[in-house]
Amino acid sequence: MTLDLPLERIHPLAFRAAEATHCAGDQGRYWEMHHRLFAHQRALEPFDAHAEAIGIDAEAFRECMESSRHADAVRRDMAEARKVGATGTPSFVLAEADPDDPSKATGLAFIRGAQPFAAFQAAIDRALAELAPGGE
Amino acid sequence: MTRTLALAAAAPGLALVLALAIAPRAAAQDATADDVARRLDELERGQQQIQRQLEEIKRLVQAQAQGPARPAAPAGPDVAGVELDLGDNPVKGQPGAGLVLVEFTDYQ
Repeated sequence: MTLDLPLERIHPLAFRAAEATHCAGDQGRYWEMHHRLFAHQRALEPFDAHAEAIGIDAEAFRECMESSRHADAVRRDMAEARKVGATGTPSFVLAEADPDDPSKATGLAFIRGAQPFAAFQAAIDRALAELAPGGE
Repeated sequence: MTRTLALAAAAPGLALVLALAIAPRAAAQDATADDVARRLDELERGQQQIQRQLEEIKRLVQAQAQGPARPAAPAGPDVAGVELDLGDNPVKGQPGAGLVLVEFTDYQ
């Protein structure tokens, strides 16, 4: 799962880009927009062009962007980043999911930066061992 | 007849002159080949040295990028037990999975 941490001070368009992914998400195409914007980081504007490229309803997308209705969600993600001490991207937190509430999780381990797969595997293996019945 | 003789006499001379002309040239070529080989060796050594230095620089830059506190394990803030509010962010994978990997992402 991804949470948004637009580094606004160095990336002025990053916040809008995060909003754009959620606007695409309203039309069920969050990941398409996510991957598309990642691949076009030097050409984020106009965002409409990316909406068109992934084939979503341009008018609904534009309306969504104008309303900034996902801004609060992006800001909430940023607050979560502050809470766990994530200051750069990518940062990862491996967490234990709350079985009763998909919006809640409890932190287990922090992984800083684009680490090799093995680093994730090791963290996940440790977490599984700890969470296993009879584990720590 | 005289002409033929003169030619016959000239022929060894010509051969000698040719041989003389070739000999130093061959020697010069040998010297050049040695020189080139030596230069190649030097270049190769130089390149290896540069490569070693680059590796060292790369190592330092990576260490720097990952923060000063990274001697063995990737150090980071302690998030154990921190309650996360994930909102309704899109998620990939099996619903109801016990673990969730949260990525903080940025476009640009």
